[in-house]
Order: sequence, then structure tokens, then C-alpha cells
Amino acid sequence: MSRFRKFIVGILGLIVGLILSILIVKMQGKSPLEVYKALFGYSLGSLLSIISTLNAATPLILTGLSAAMAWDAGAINLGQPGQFLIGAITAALLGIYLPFPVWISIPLILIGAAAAGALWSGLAAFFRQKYNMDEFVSTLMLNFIAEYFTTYLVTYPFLDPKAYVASTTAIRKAFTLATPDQFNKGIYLAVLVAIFTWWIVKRWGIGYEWHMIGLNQRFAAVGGCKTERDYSLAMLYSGALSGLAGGILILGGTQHRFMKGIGGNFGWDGVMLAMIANNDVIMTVIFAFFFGALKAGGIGMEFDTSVPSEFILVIEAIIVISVVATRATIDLYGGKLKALVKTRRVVKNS
Amino acid sequence: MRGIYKIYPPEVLALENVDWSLKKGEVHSIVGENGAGKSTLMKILSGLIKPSSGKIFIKDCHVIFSAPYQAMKMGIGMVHQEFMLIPSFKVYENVILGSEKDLSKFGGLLDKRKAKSIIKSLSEAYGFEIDINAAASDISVAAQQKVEILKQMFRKVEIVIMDEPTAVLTPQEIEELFGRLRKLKEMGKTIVFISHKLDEVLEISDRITVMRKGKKVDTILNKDITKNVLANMMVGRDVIFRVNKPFKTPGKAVLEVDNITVNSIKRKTLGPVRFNVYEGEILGLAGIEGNGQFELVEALIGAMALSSGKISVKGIDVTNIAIRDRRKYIGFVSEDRKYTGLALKGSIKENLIMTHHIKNEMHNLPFTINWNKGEIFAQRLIKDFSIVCRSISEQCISLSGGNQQKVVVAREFTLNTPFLLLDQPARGLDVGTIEFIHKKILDMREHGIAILLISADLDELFNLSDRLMVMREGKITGILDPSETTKEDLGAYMLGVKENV
Amino acid sequence: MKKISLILMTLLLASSIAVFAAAPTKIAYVINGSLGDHAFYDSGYAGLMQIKKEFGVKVKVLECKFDPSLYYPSLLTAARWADVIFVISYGFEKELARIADRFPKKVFVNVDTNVKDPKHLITSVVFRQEEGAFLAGATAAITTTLTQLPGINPQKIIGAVGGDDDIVIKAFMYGYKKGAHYIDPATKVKIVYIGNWDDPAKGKQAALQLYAQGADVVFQVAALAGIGVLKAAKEVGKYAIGVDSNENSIAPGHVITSDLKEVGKSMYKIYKMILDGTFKRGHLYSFGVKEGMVGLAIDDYTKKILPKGVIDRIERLQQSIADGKLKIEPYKAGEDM
Repeated sequence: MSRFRKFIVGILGLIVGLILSILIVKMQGKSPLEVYKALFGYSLGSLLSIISTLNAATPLILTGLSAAMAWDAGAINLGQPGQFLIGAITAALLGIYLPFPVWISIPLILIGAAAAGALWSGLAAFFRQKYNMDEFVSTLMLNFIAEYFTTYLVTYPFLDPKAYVASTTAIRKAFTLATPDQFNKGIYLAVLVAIFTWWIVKRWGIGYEWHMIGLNQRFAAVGGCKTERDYSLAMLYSGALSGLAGGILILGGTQHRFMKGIGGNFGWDGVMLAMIANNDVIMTVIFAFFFGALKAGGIGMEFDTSVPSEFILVIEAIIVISVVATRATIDLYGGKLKALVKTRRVVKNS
Repeated sequence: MRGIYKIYPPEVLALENVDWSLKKGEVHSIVGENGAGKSTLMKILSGLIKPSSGKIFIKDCHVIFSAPYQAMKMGIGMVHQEFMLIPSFKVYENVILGSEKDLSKFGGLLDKRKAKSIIKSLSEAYGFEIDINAAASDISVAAQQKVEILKQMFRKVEIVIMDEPTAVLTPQEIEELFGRLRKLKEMGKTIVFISHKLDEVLEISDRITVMRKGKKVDTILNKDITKNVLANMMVGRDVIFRVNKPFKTPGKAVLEVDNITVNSIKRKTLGPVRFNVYEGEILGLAGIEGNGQFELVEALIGAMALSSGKISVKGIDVTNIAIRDRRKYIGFVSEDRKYTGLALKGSIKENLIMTHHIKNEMHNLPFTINWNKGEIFAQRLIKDFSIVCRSISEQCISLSGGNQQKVVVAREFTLNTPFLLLDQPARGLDVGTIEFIHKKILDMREHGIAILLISADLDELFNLSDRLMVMREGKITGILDPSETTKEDLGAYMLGVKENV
Repeated sequence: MKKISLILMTLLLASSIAVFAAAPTKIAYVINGSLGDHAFYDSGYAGLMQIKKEFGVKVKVLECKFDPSLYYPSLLTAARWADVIFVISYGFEKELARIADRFPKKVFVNVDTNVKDPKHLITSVVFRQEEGAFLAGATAAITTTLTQLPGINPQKIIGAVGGDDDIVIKAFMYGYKKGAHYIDPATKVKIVYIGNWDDPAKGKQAALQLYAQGADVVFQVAALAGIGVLKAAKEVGKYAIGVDSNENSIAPGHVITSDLKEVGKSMYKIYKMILDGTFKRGHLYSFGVKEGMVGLAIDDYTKKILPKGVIDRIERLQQSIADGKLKIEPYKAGEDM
């Protein structure tokens, strides 16, 4: 499918999704116009809103790419939430304890977060290579371990005794990547990483091999691709992206420390993004911004219209389903329609 | 059937204005190249797919089938190319599957004894000689086909459609099948026989319908036609059945297979097998499917580890090197292009540069791929191998089978390897493409490439091979000279009646 | 020196008067968790509704559902809209300070924790939960000796289930122990932290464990998760003490009393102070038994369980705390229990 067509299908799916959500809002007895006005106003309506949207999009770009990269290479990494948390806790601890100057510490913290995420997904890759354990299951299980492990760390050894919830102390002020307006400068890095990822996928040998393995593993293996190495690298890269997302959230987010529950939905939203974007790098980034806008707008929507912000989750789910379904439907019925038209033409001519 | 059209989405015209009739009690063959519309027409008749336009009449009655069971009620049944049996079920269970209701007793319980006795008597009446209590997975392919036919008989079908039934059988088994079909005909059944093998068609049919590119060319009486005329009608031009093969003295050994064995848990063991393939030689490997060819191919390509023995190409020991390195010496056309030969959802370009992408000339930095070169290369192959496509970015899945296979062949034949492993390179293709691929294979032979050709098509083996090798139960049971061997003789080796090693 | 502070005071007062020149019309209530806990957050919501009803102001609620990524944007949204923002800020005190900094004219009232911001823009309301917990502990310690009641064993063991192992909950546990040991130093107090606030199944599991270890009364300090504790008491025929709101009716006959923490009442009181000009920005308000913001809910449900003499004794205890005759030392972070 051409990029243009992909884009059109994506937009169509979005429109279908938004129309369906309008119906649901109507059924709830609320005004769809107000809901969308609030959604728009709080996501793009002012500078503060735009900052909110960009901040929400920043981790999503990376977790989305994390899922997209792994799946493109046929590795079913569903461990984004866990890899995110491990990356975040690493960044938080490095941010508290690293004694070096800023220019060396910030790169070190981000590399550390990425490495920690890669370590987490690398575990799953190792289990797969060594014991033939399905990464689909192991990454999911590692999510739980990551959650409880990080909760343990912030509840006991690294607890900030002055905090009212389980959390570490804040990272050194100099390490924060947020402006006074709370704009997360990490987004520059996220976009850079996205461009780099695009470069790998489109121009590197391993990007080609990943894609081929994802399409047909046996074909790639027989064709001489290093399937095992490529698989491991895909998992590691995917984990590193999620870990980096966690690191950027710590440095550039609003908390500047690791606290229980900080991962929120970023991991799973990334999974959803990759699904909608069909593992395409550019589409993932575009949809990350869109989802960021929904996330930011959702709070305002709840505030203005008292439609609960969980409704955003419903909209997201509807959009996922309608984009995917639209993709399939256009392929199916578009083909059927063409066949029908051609039948008419051919039968008439003979 | 009148004015039948079928257009597969999006715009593939499979049938165009086909009128076709079938007389009671005849054996009617439908011949045509792959993609000519034979199977599509019959799938419409058996209710499996719906026509885009057109009507079906049975005994002057207009019928509309929207599912196979409706056709079945009218006495029309189809034996498909891929058998639809449940491996763990017993033969009789497979036969009654789908019609258990008629055999129930006490309102729901299956009357197994009654079922068995009915099937046993059916089987005897038609002379099937089959153990109805065996599991479907334990019986031979030929026997499975019998079960499929029995299934149709059990459903009291009057018209049996057989889609390429001989493709999976040995010459001896084909004879048996024909005997069985004649018997069915004697008992008043009508048989539709789909094939692209002209000899078989001429042997069995009363009437023959020739199809080409979705249109019916003609229906003729068997006695009025010769093979050459039939072939001409089918392809639309004269076809050379014998390939001109210049004599060549074989050179040095390129592939040396030295007593290799493969032990695996699930499959039969391979070997020990020992043979050489020489420079400029085509070694044909014959054998009934499942007699070790799969293991041999996997072992040669490096997808399966050897238990013992040694493989070398041009004196270089490749026994223990990775597939990636092995591919410098071995070009490989796999028997299944869908699962091994191609990434169907990938573009033509992506499929064409596979394996080539490892080579240095495809890189500008060591880890990148130079897609400009890749595209030029892909364009060249498309031209050289006359691959019909819209662009190099088109998905392989939308190509015809013949063009898909050309993509595989183009890629593998341009790798500059001293040895080519060809596993069923022309299976399921139309005559024109087969001709093209055979010509390319002979070109490679001219260039001194050593070729191992595995094929189930005996004509192909006889036409191309310099030497013939027969494999049975994982071992080589015969080395034959094709010019001094008959098909029947080869069949005897394949079935294990004869051995010469 | 005195003069300077006087000027400062005037300035502060002036600034607050400037803000309240027109009565605030928009009130927001931002919470880190979710409504529907029948306790803490709901109590605040009830107070908000009372303010709305009585003064006809517009009110809005923002729930962060324990998702840290929602804290800052929720606060920001609330701050942009409302005049007065009531915040229950467990975990996002720092975000609150930053937001208050950006909206210096808005009134931020942080409930239940003490947020110290350098510019003293945030007003905090804290509860002397040690006092209520002390009474709960005393009640539990008395009850475990009343072997004439069904389900009470001769061992003097009582328990408590806490949500997280955090400062506020630790203060509760500290007060609970103090109260129990005030009655009888030999009373054994067993404490379990479940690490959760919204899963009643986890609370129930912990309580069943405590009952199995011989505890007769279990005090829940785990919001919605703690409802499971009350259910467990009913299931095994033992006793429990509720928290924050009056939970006595959730498992009648088994919830002896509830340790009230009047979040809603405190919000109402603060709002009235804003209206009548007695509100002091940046001040730390501490509410306890004396102010009627903390204490035990003794009602008919209690009277059906405990003998009158016992209830009288507990009420006397509560009165002496209110009168300041009985002083309960506040819990200090890190203090060993």
C-alpha cells in the first residue's frame, strides 16, 4: 500500500472513529459539539494546551516506535510498560546520584535508561533464544515483575521519607529537561530518535532484514538473513526505545522523580499506536501526536463537559478498531466494488 | 452453465462468458494452463464460489448455489487438489463427517456400526480396497484420494469433479485411479476431470473442453483430436515438448555430498547419502514426496543440521557454516514459493534483492543498503526474466503464480553461485512459464553451473536431466541414464520395486 | 522589627482582600485518586456539594485516578478555570507548588498534607489523625477484652490494615498503637500494609490474615481497599473500625465505629473563612478532635455492639482530648514505632 493510501485510510478511520464517538456522546445525553470543542481547546487551543499535547506525545512517540519496531521484525514485544518503568527508575536513580556535570550526566542518564529498557527486553529475547520461550508471554510477565520491582525500590530502599506517596527523591535540578512552562524538551530527542529509526528501517541492511523476517521468517532465514542476531537486536532496540521513553519522562516530565504508577498508560498506548500505524515509523509519530492531543484534551473535556476522561480511552479504542477495520474493509469491499464494476462493463461489452 | 463470468476482487477476470455443458455418464476433461479458469469454473459448479454473472441449469432447471451443500443436494461433489481430511480421524469418520445426522440413532447418537457397514459395502462395490478403520494420517496420498472419492459416493453424488487428481500420484497410481474412474463411469456416474497433462486427458476422457485465459476455446470429442492440436488450443501457439539440449561433457565435481545423514525426531531419517553434481550437469532427483527430499534440501541449504557426513561446494567444506555464508555457493529455488521462496507481502524489489543484499556491491556504508543500486538491479531482472508487473514496488502477492516463480528464479539465478539447488522449480506453473524456466535452467547448465533438480514431474526430469537419481526412504536407490530409461522403469524405482545401488 | 512584620501582615492581608474583593464563584476539587471510595475523597466531594448548594457557586472535580501523568495537566486545567482550588495532593505536592507559583492570584488549599512552598501561596489543612487513631486504638483495645461479645477471644490482639507505608498512614498507626497501649500496654498490635488503595479484595485478604492470627478488631486505613476489611469482619464474625467517613453501616454489627476525618467539613469551613475574610493565605491549619474534624462516629450501630459503659468511657476519652487534658504527641516522620 502506498504511503498516500495508508494516510488516507488512517484519516478515514479517524473520521469513522470520531463519528462513532459522537453517537456515543449523544447516547450519554451530552453535547458532542461541546465535547469536541473542549477536546480541541485543551489540546491545541492555546500555548499551554499545545505544550500539554506535546508533553503527552513525547513518551508515546518512543513507546509507539518500540512496539512498531519489534513487530515489524516479527518479535511480539508487549513489554513496553515494563521496559518503560525500568528505564524510568534507572533515570531517576542516576539523576539523584550521578555526581558529574550536566553535559555528561544527561547523556549518561538517557543512555542508562535506554540500556535498562534494553536489558529488560533482552531478558525476553534471551529466554526465547535459550529456552524457546515465547516473547509474547515473557514480555507480558516481565511487565508485572517490573511493576512490583520498581514499587519495591521506591517503597523501601530509595523511598523519599518526606514524600506522601512511595517515590524517590527528586533528581538534581540541573538535570531536568523541562522549561519553566513545563515543556518537555525531551521531545526534540524523541523526534530525532524517530528520524534515526526511520533511517535504520529504510536504509540499513538490518532494517531490511527486520522487515523481511517480519514478513516471512523462513524466507529471510533461507535468504541468508541472520535471523537470530536480528531478532535479538530488534528486541534490544525496542526495549531501549521504551526505556528511553521512561528516562525522558523522568528528566522532562512534571515529576522529576520516580513514583509509584508513573508509567500510567504510556506503554499500552504505544502498543495501540503501533497497531493503528501498521508498524510504519512516520505514521506512528503522527498518531503519537494525535493521541497526545486526545490525552491532553481529555482532561479538559472531563472538566468542561463532565464527560469522564475515561471516555478518551473509549475514543482511542474506537479509533483503533475503526482504522484497522477501515483498512481491511477498503481492501475487501474496494476490491469487491471494482470487481462488480468490471463485471458490468465486461458483460455489457460482450 | 451459461454466460458465466467471474471477477475476483479487485479486477482479476477469471472467467469470461463461458458456456459449458455436461452430459450424464461421460468423462469430461477440462484442460488449460494455470490460471485458465478451469478450477474457477468447477468451483462455481460445486457451489464453492458464486459467479459474478451467469446462470447454471441442471436438467433445464435454473439453480443458484450459495454453498457447497446445496450443490451436493443436486448431486454435485468436488474432490479438491488439497485433500480435506482430518488427520486424526479414522477413514470412515472422515467419510461421514458432515452427514452424521443421517446416521443417528436414539435421536443423536452416532450409529457407528451402520456407518461402517455402509462404507464397507460402498468401498467393495467400487473396488477401493481400503482399511476404513485406519487413521487418515497413516495412509498414503493415493489412499487419501480414495477416501475423498468415497466421501462423494457416500453422499450419493452423481457428478464427481476431480481437480488435478493426478498431480500427487506416481504413474502406477495414476493407472489405478483411471481404472477406478472407468468403473465409476460404468456405474452411471458423471466425471469431470481437470488437468493440464494432455496424455492423461487423452487417455481417460470422452469429451474435452479447452480453456485459455478465462475463456472457453472449444469442447471437442476425444476421438477427433491429437495431442499437438490440443496443446496448440491450450497455449494458443505451437509448443515444443522436447527441449533441445546440447550434449555436454560434465566437468569437475562441484557439489560433493559425502555420506550425510539427518536424524530428526518427527521425520524419517535421511541417508547415508553420497553423490556428486558436476560442473555443467543437471542431476535430476526423482522420488515420491516424503522420501527424504525435504531433509536433503534442508541439509544442503543449512536449515537442518547433519548428524554425520560432509557437504562441500567447489572443494570448500560448507557442512558447518551458517546459511548466510553458504549462500555464496548455493543458489536455491524452494518448492514452496509462498512460504520459503518469497515474502508475499513484500514488494518485488524487496524480494529480488534478498541474499543479494549481503553482497558488498549493494552497500555504500557497510551496514546500509544502496537502494538506488537495488532498484536498478531489480529493474534489470524484471526485464531479463520478463516478469509482468506494474512496478517494482508492487507486492508479490498480487502477481500471478508464474511471475512469482520468475521472481524467485531471477533472484537465485543471478547470485553467481557455482551450484543451484532447484526444488520443483516449475510446479504448478503454466506451460509458457515452464518453458521459460526450463530454458533458463539449461542456460545455467551452459554456463557450467552444477544443478540438482528435484521434481515430481517425470517429463521435466526426463527432458532436463543429464543423470537421474532416485531416492526412496531417505536413501539413493538408483542412478539412471534418462536416455536409456522409461517412465515406467523410473516409477518402479520410485516405488521400491527396483534398485541398482 | 515589629513594624516590618506589621507592614508585612498588612500587605498579606491586603493581597488576600484584593483576591476576595468579589466572592469566588468557581471552585475546583482536584484529587490524586478517584471518587467512589465511600471515605476520604467522597467526604471532600460532599463538602464541595454543600458549598455549591449553600453559596450557589460553580464547582468542578478533577480525578487523577492515581495516574501521575495526569497530575500536572489536571492542576493546570483547574488553576486556569477556578478561583479556589481544593487539592488532595498525595504525591504531587511539587507540581502543586509550581502551579501555585504560576497562578499567584488563585487560592490553593491543600487538604491532608502540608505543602511548603517558598512563597507561601499554598494554604494547607492537616488533620491530627493521631487523635482519631488514638481513640480507635483505645476502642479496639477495650473491645478485645470484652470476651462476653460473640467472636472475641481471650487473647489481647488487635490489628490494622494500611494502604501504603506512607507518612500519613504511619501517623494513623502511631496513634492507634498509642491509644491501645494507653488502655492496656499488654495489647498486641499487628499492622499490615497492602500497597493498594482501591482493591477491596486485597484489603479483605490482609484482614482475614489478621483475624486468623487472633486479632479481634481490625482498623482499616486503606480507603476503598479497606472496605474489604469490613467485609472480612462480617465474614468471620469479628470486628472492624472504619475510617475517614462513617462506615458503620457497611457491615452492621461488625463495624464498631469509624475514625472520622471530616475532609468535607474542613473544606466547608475554609470556604466560609474565605468569605468572611478570616482566611489566611499560606497558613497551616491543623484540625483535630477539638475542632470536630477528627473523632469517632458513635451511633446506633455502635450502641448495638458495645455496652453502654464502654461507650461512655470512650466518649469521656474523646472529650478529654477535645479539652486538651489528654495530649497526643504528633507523629514525626521516621519515628520508630
